[in-house]
Amino acid sequence: MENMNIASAQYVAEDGVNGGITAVIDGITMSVPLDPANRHYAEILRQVEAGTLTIQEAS
Amino acid sequence: MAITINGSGITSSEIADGSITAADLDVGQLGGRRNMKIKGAMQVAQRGADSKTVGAAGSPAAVYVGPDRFLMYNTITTADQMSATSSYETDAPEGFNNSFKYLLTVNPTGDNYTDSYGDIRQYIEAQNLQHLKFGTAGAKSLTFSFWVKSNTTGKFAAWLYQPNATRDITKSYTINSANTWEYKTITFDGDVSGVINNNTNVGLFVGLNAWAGTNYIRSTDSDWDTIGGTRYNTSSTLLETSNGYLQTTGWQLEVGSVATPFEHRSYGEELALCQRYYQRWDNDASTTTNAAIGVTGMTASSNVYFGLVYKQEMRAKPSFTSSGSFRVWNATQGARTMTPDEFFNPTRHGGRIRFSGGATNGEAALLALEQAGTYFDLDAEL
Repeated sequence: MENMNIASAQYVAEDGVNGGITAVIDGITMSVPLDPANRHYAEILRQVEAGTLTIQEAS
Repeated sequence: MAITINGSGITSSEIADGSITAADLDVGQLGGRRNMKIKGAMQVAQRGADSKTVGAAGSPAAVYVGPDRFLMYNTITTADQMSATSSYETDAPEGFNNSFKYLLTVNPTGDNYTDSYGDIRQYIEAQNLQHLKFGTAGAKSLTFSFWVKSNTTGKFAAWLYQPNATRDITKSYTINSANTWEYKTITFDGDVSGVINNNTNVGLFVGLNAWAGTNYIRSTDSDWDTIGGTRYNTSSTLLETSNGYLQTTGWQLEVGSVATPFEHRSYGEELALCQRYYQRWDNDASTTTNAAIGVTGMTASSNVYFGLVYKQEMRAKPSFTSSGSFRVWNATQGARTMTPDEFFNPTRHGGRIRFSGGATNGEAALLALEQAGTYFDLDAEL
């Protein structure tokens, strides 16, 4: 909906379970929850679906 | 003079029995909350008065701006072919103190002249619109009233869009005098075909178009229909005007065909409504440093954790950003400067902020906003 510029996205995990994504969106580093109702996560999913973004595995 | 009000109407010795009925008072909801907009008077600005610019390469196409809940939205076909700035202004018509200004600083050229547009918008949560009965024969009409001014005159467009059904409607209004506040009212029919889902997502866009590329312009008002390219009934010349602007405040959207006086709500009420979508935790814009915000706990993994309970339940699990440094005091390490590096698995009610490094297992610590400008944001905007 909002054509965000997402430079990177990486899962954050604890005890092997993903609990969020650290992403750089429109030049700002943010923690994004795994909630489809969250506009940032929805846009991440949209760009992944479009093949323009890959979410890196947690380090 | 005795006056009786009952289901048959209003009667008195001087008014013929039944000559005034409830149907004659066709002003929608008479009391309570008439305005479906949040913060239409724009008195809440948690993000501050800083201006935001879009249009350059890499800049966002849409940004939430100074006044809470309002969005500056631009389609940018090609970067660096237009630039627009939003700002939070104290210039406002009588009865209001604040307004939102959309300023076109670089006029659109190339593809942007034909295939782009710029709007001021607010999105309304779907579950708050169920009483409109959209998608049924009883769909209710809506009246949108607002104050507006511009350095260009002529026909501008107001626009409603409901994303669930991908249907929109546009109506024009006229700005008669340049650089002058004018009050406008527009009534939209209810949409008998497009259902608004009952959930926490966007149910309705309400927007004022600032300018539109030629491929987005139509010459007549529309009825509700599947959204198409020509969505704005406008002849705005703002896109060809040097420093063209559209400024607005006093947004009210209400059921019915009559625009009633603006429903002023208290700052506290509006702030609480806004915090369902966005919360800034800061030093109240003061010069205070090391303002304590809570007590943290530490773990053996050398992390400082702060359990955050939000000011309001939020619409969705929020995104987290921070700016500036934080101060942590505990017995073993003393006072230290730290920055959050994670907001893990939040709910709509609270979450856990992590500061990595330099902890002592089992100790408590005091957490403070170290700098005057330190803050963190929670974003559950639509």
